[in-house]
Amino acid sequence: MIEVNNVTFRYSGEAEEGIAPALEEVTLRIDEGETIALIGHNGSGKSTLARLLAAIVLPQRGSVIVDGLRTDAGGESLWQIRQSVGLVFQNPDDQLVTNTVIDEIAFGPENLGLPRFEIEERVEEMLDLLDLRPYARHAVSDLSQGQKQRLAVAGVLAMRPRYLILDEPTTMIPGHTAEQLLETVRRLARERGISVLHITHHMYELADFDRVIVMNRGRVLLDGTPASVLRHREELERAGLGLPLITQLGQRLRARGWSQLPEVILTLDDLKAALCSLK
Amino acid sequence: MLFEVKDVYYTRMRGTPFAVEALKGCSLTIPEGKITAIVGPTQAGKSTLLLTLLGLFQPSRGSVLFRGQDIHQAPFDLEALRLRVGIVFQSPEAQLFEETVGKDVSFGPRRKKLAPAQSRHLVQESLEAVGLPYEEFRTRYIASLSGGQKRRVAIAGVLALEPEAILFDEPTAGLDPQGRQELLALLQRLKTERRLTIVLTSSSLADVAMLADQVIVLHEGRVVLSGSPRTVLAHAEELLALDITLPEITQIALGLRSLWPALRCDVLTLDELEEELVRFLPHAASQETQLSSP
Repeated sequence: MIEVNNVTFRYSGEAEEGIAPALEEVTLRIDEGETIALIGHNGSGKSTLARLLAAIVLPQRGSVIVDGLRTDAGGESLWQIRQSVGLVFQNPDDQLVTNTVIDEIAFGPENLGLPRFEIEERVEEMLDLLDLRPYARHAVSDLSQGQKQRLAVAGVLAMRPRYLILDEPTTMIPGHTAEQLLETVRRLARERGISVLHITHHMYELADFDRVIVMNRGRVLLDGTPASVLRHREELERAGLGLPLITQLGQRLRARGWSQLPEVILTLDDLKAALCSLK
Repeated sequence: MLFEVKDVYYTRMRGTPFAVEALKGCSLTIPEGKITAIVGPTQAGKSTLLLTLLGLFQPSRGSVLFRGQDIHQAPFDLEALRLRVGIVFQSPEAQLFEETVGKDVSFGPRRKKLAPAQSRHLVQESLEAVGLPYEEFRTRYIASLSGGQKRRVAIAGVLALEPEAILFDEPTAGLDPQGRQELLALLQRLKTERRLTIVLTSSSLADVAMLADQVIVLHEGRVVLSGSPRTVLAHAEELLALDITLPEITQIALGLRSLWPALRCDVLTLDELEEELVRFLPHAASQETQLSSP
């Protein structure tokens, strides 16, 4: 479990310029095996929260506690936290450090000082899990953006984290590739009990997550299931987030008299089922 | 027609084991003063096509005409062409090389040996055209800008050459939704306010459906579909099979076709989809009561 207790964080130098804190009095809990979509407009504090969870930056007020370890305790516990919280950056080029696909996946386990057979086993596993086997010996620089993003995820998962944080992994890659990546990540969460925190700008990606957290101006605006969050249309719009088109379509039809349609329709399958019941 | 591409073939890395036939009999036209979107999956030949238009690649067969003249036949002046048609490469922010915004944008005018006052005027106009106020940005360090701002500086650098047309290679790649919207709005403004001809490439129809006058779908070095966005979207199923990302609205329409196979999927807006869908739905209970009431 990760606990974020009343955290305030400000980037250095911003106080003097009168810029509001990046995060202000944020409290939330992430349980094991939960899949969470974290959404918000530019500058809402999403990426800062991700960095706090991974102990890349430390809170100035409040605390972040990962499986009982405070991120600001320093020393040995910092290494444990960094191993259990894996972070995938928005641009895979910021993260990939080696020349070939195999080396990249092995990089983390090697640095954990694992025995050779264990490293090989993890590399083999990740090649299959993220569909990278055809490119195993390819140069990282020859991969497409989507392949690079899968490789970045493989490199982080090879360290067997308990929490996987994806910082807008779908910004750089085409829609259907993004969908496949998210599907793989959610499957892993189910099969291995890894918690996933997926940061995104896209409202249409929320439907398939257990929980949605909406950030606005450094604070948590809404937190709940996708359906419960999408009921707050006006608050979302004030935070610069429109409802997913499919939800809007459902509401327009309701307003035109098909009042038996549910208030919040999340997916195409839900919409089809609801429309079929009208037939 | 600004450009005509006639049955062009081009092999990248010809004569090496890595040779790839990037264009295989590609024919198309680029009309003046319009926005043309070249859409296709990765490796379709989109970037190669742009470079071929500028004569940076010479076709192994076929020809490229600029205002009716073959660009590879004497006396055509390729250098003059490149002053009239600008190009913004993919991730252009990576190719800014000066220290400050002002210096970078003035590189072109200075190379053209324009008078300082004229050059300054062009820099100012170009920066303001991309939404970066001159006084505020001229002395800003490139390194202090956001990714989207850097991309706009790169575009201003091309505008400062006063081109008639600009080719953009994947202009929205890697931008967040807000940056994407701003960039697409900028392209629209360049067309309407400056009467520029714009050609852009994308792997997604979502970006260009509301923007382009003409869409050309490229697949494996050939044109497989072309026309207005609506004409092209009518072939949504084929586009999906080609790995082209569709607008969210089209995806919903396509999904609903399993219930109503006659449902049109060449809808561009939520309003259009709503009206189309309503034609297929049974009358709503509340509407029926209205109808039957005297």
